[in-house]
Amino acid sequence: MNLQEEKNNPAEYTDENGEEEYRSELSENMAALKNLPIFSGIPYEIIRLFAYTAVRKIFSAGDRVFRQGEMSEEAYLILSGKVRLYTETHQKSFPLQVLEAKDFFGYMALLAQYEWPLSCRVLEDTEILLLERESFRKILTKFPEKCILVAERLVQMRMKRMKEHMQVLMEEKESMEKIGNMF
Amino acid sequence: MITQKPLFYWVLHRNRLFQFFLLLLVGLGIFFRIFPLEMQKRIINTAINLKKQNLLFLYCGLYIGAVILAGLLKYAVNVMQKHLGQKVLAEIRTGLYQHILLLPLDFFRRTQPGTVISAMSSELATIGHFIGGALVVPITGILTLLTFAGYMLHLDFRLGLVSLGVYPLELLILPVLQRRYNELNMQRIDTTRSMNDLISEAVSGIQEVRGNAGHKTESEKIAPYIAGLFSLAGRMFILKYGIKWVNNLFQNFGPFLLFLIGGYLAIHGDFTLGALVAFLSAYEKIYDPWKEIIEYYQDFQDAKVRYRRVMEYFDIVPESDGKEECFGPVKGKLEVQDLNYSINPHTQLLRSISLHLEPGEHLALVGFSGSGKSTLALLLGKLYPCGKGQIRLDGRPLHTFCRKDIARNIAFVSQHPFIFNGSIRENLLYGCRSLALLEGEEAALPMPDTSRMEEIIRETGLLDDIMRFGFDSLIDEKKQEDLLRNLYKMRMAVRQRLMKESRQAVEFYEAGHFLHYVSIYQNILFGDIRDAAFSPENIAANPRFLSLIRDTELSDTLMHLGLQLAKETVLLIGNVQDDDFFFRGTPVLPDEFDLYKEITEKVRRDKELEQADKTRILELALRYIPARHRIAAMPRSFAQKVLNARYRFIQEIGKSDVRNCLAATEEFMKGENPKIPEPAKNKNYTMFCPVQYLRSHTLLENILFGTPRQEEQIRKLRNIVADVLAGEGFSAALINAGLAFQVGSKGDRLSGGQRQKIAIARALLKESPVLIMDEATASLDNASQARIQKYTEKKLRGKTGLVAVIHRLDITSSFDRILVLREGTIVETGTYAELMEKKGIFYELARGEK
Ligand SMILES: Nc1ncnc2c1ncn2[C@@H]1O[C@H](COP(=O)(O)OP(=O)(O)O)[C@@H](O)[C@H]1O
Ligand SMILES: [Mg+2]
Repeated sequence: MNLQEEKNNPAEYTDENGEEEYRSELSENMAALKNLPIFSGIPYEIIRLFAYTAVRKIFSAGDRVFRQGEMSEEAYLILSGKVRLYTETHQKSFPLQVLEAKDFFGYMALLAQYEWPLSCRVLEDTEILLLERESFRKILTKFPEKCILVAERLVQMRMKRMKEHMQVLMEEKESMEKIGNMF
Repeated sequence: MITQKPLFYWVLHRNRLFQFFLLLLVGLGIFFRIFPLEMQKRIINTAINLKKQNLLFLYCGLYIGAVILAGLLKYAVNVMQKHLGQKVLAEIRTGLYQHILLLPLDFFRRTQPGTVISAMSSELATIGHFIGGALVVPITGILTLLTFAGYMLHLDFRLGLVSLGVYPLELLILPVLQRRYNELNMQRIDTTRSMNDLISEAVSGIQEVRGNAGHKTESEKIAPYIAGLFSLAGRMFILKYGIKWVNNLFQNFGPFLLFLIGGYLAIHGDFTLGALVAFLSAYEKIYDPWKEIIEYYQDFQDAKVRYRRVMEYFDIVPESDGKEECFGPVKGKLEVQDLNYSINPHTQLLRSISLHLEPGEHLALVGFSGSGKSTLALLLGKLYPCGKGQIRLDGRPLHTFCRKDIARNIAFVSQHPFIFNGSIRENLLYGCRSLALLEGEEAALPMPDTSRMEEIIRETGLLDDIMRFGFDSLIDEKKQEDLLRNLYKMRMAVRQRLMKESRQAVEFYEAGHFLHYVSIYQNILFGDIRDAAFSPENIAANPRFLSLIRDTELSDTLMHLGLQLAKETVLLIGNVQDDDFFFRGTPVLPDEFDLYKEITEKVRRDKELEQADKTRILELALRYIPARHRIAAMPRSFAQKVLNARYRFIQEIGKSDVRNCLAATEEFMKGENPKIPEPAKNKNYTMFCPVQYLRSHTLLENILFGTPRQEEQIRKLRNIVADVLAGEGFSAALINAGLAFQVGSKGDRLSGGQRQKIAIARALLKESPVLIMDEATASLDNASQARIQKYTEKKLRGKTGLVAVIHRLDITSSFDRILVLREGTIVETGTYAELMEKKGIFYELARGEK
């Protein structure tokens, strides 16, 4: 079994001492999610449901995560590795921002389906945690009051980005790189 | 016509020799029943009276011999009677079914299936019982009666006359009661039919019933019928047993009179004691035939009522009135002249329709919904009876063509096609096979061969579906030996492709590895086992298995794992367990949630677990699939323990050689050809070994020899395997496996699109000169619709005339002519370009569509 296969087999863990220790993927996901700003102030129980329904995916260098124009279905949290966002116009692609571990992106997909305005490609072997809109909706219908909070956070995060975007525009520094940072 | 035949036709005109033979046996039987009476008299009067021992033995011997013979004859007569009845019943059923299937379609629009079903099954069944004895029973009864009566009169004329005299009185009362019974019986039949109709409606519409929570509504609908049947049955039993009671009463008058008068005569010496005993016996014996005659009378009345009720209902002249002729194949020129169609004087559905279709021409019918397009299509397909001479096929009036000709020359795809229960293949060949049956062996057109089937399957877009069914099917070991023999080759080829294209797609069954994508159960068994004691449901309580996991130190680990799974599940989804969605990541099934919750409660309160609870916990742990149920993790040494358990299972229970399999697996993974290992000593066990066929796995799983790691990759894997199969020349085998897919009643296991594609393929396979399609592609996706459109345009034009009712106007542009219907009349005709130019109704419709 090669190294990558080993990695693809989740749920088998030992701690540093090599002793038998139970640590499920669920708790790993939990650890990754609980510090995200969108979950601040959300009861533990609900974050755990998100951690439970989240899907881990391993991409190899060069794989595409999503493509401009495809319909959005999920939000992404990078667990390890690096990805690059880029736009494609007239068969040319313009590289934009690079994202790495702990970066959370594409989160508006949780609220609604839309066409990705960008593409995303993996730069090195990368593990990503996917939060699917379907799961989000399911949890939302179970805990409407709490999940409205999450939706609020999402919109607030988006608006903050937008404000930054406006500032950049006003400062008339329209280098491609900075526009890239908008996303 | 079968419905006009009286009930006794079946008795008198059928199986006469058989009936004659039966009567002969009956006659003999009567003799052997009267004979013992004479012996009785002689035993008492001669043997005992004269104290002659020899005679006593002789008479007793004769007596018992006659009794046994009479019994045997009665037995034979009974069996033969029932046989005869069932034979005639089969004849009536066959004939009536044929008759019903040929009734005008109109009849079926007002008749519910329940009525037909109850007529064909339960109502006719009792008639069968009756018919077997229709002649024999009354003849036996009357002959026996007369014989005994004669014997009694012979013994003593006065006494005989008195004791027999009561019977005629009874005949006055019985028919009155019976007439009332018949009326109720008739009502009962009607009520049962209505009830059956409701039931069959609810069953066929179960989705709608469920969707609207209509179970109460349906129960309410059926309630009056159930209540009606209850009250009818009550009244009928009162009458039936009333008749019995009257009968018994009269019966008991006999002995009373006998004792009174016979006793008087005996006291006065006018009558011997032996004669009185014989007389009493005779009287007792006479009761049996009398009872049988009365019962016969009741059965006869019942059967008559039922038979009349059944036959009356279907007493309609079948559509073909015998004036039709069979002309054979036609060219396919269709002409309609001034066609009007009304269902009753007030509703005219079509008004002065005229059209013509040259052989091979393509005609589109469009128009508003309800404008009569389907009605016109049905008329053209002779599925509705049409007026005289208004529709002509090759110049001959359509109504003069026989049914066979229509079926051969016109293929019809209806708006809501019907799919029969059975395989896809049977459905596809339904038309061809039916024609072949009608034509007889020599005249039949050849059945479509494999390449023709494949062509049509591909052109109608069924290929993908059928390949998928093939992949999901179990290999038929008898029919697909060829495939089995080459299984290893196929596995190897697929594996090599996967190594090149997506190494990670499949987790192979490697005997030396712990598998993350199959359950712990499969990890340990590592094979197929056809032994219920080791099935997933039973294994957790199987002592052999329990001792095996104890020996490999797995018991505690598994219990711990199971408990962890249960606890996590309860904790995680306790608040959302009403939604099955949240059960995706746990081995707990939705309906088991409460059970495991209870168990975790017990553990939390430190209560002792019962044995049953432990079994459930173990079951849960065995169901655990590490890569899917990520709520729990496993300690590292777990994998090794599971492997140890696996090896021991294979050796001790599977009685197979692990080392051989390990070696074979290694060679398989390296891409070499291993030796075939010896078969397992346990015939019920097949190890996951690359040279073994896994009987309870699907074709795809067998070829992949592993588990797909991700659901969304299955499609891709299927394509790879299909590719490899095609390369090795096994496409046909795969398609055959798919064609054997059982579609379920009404094709319930198919999607709407698949049903429509099958109906289209079924029509195309007939290769008839005229094809009528009524919105046949309406429920297909755009790609499939376009594919079929392209096929008809490219391959059928000039060869097969096509009349297509079409909803989407943009695809009518390739048709030779378009007819626009509104309120039953043609309002516009022309090609697509002409009609668009004209800026009339068609133009408006087309614009509205955009
Ligand atoms: N057996 C029937 N009894 C009464 N009305 C009928 C019958 N069959 C069809 N109709 C009526 O005839 C009209 C045309 O029906 P149809 O030919 O199915 O229209 P479409 O053009 O939508 O296929 C409809 O208004 C329908 O109600
Ligand atoms: Mg219609």
